[in-house]
Amino acid sequence: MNAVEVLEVTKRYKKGAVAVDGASFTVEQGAAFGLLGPIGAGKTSIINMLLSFIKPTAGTIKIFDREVATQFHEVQNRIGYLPERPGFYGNFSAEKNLRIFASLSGVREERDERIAKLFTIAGLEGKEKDLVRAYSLGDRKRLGIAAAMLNEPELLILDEPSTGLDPQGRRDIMALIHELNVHDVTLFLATHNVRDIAEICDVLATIQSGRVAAPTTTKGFIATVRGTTVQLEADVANMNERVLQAIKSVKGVKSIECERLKISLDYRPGINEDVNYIITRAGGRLRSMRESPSLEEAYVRMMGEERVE
Amino acid sequence: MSEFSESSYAFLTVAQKEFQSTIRTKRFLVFGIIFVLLALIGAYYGNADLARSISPTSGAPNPATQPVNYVISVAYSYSQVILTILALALSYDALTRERSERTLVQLLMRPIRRSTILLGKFVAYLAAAGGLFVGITLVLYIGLSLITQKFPSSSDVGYLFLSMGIILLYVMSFIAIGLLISSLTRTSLDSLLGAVFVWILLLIFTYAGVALGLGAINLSATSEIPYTAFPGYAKILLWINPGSHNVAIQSLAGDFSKLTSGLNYAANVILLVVSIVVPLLPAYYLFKRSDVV
Repeated sequence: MNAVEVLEVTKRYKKGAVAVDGASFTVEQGAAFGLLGPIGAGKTSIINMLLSFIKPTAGTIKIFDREVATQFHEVQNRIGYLPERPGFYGNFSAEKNLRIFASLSGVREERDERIAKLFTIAGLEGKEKDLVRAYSLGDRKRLGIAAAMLNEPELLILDEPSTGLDPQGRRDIMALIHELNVHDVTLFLATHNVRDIAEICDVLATIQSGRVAAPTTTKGFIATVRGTTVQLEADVANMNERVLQAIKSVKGVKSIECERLKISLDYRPGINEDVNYIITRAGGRLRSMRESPSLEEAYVRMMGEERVE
Repeated sequence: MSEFSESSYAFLTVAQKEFQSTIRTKRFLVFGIIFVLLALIGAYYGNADLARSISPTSGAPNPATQPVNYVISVAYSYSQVILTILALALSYDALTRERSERTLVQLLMRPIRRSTILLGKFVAYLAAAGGLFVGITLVLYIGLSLITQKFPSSSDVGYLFLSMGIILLYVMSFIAIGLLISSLTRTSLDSLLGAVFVWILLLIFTYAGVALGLGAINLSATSEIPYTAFPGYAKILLWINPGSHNVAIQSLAGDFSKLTSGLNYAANVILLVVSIVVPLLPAYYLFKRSDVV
């Protein structure tokens, strides 16, 4: 079952600017989906349409098989949302904020227990009574995740979750998000940060100027970028011409340095496994593998190519 | 749990949140203190009138027979304008503030109707401004009764509640205007400008109504303006300002033909209710149709 279905969605604002241009993609339930694109590409517009905050000019959006335009209220309580800059009532304590949002989410009987648990999960123990206006951005993000998790959502939508965080804060937040996905929460992560996608997502779609490319795995995405290569290093005890020929015969292998078996490959899905099979059969062992470009390099290269085109 | 009780619970949550948030604001503190001071000054001068044994005036309770009601009416006359400013000050950016602080997103992420948010806010501001008003009125009433040793009769208490009802409706009309301004604007600054503009506009309507009315009946300004003799268009201009209906209090004690509205108590109450509903409906419509972000 799909958690999210976006079909030919366009969003055109009043002044004529097209934020989203015929976007179509699906997110399977339980997946960690990343929408990757530069700032201003249309990511937040897509999120705002998923959450029924704005209406699409054309197209259909479904969440858990319900049309957002007409049946959003039926799935609203199955969705959590972490905005880029989560808003809270600064004059209230963090706990009071969560109590308000829990009550509005229909959480009553186990409200206080759930809130206490979320403070622990979010790493905010001991800060429950602090006024939110005294919170750092990192703590606000943590509190934002706690607020998004109040209704125990099946789909968590995250908008630029690591923006504005220091390295430690970013690491903590990403670990927290990853942990949620492990527990079967479907993630929809929109970001311009390739590292976030690389660490969390198993499927990604890029967005540029409102146009969304077809979703692919991260490896598949790298493969779509021209000039991607893989460098393998291996130790092979019984190196001989037969083994070298076998490796050379694998489609996509560009060069082999025999002295310390360095193999350069043109990437295609499965090629690593094909070469590794030959090395292993020859009694060898793969020492290292480095894909070039990395996801980040591939993304930057692809964006550059699109701009040129 | 039924949908009704879910909605009621959400409504109470929003109203409670908004009330607790409102009474901590500087604007509530500043305008609230000014209101209390003006009410006390009014009560002081009203009490001083009692000592001077002044003669009864049209529209005010008789100071000889209803001394406490008289003092209260003077306190009202000093303080009710600031009370409406307080009502407007609390409500003019009710939605724009939530938008700019991004808490509206947090609210609307929850299964809650926009009408619930709007009504919750309306009731919260009424509880804040109206609660302050009712509180100070009761304190004055009890205090004055004890000081003068003139304890109110049942008709005096009736006057008290009818007059408080009118002032509360008056306050509600300005809360509704504030909510409309907030739903029409996108930023708190725009809302503030809108509130000032509307405040001035209402005054202009009143002055224009009086000027046109007097012109139509060939009279210059007099101490007792015959509002009932004004042509319809002049009356309508006057009626637009809810302030012309809060004088209904005076109709409880005298001749309504000399009131700004030229209408009796019941008609003024109806028009005050209209002046609450008329801004609230478009405020709800605009808020419902507006994008959250």
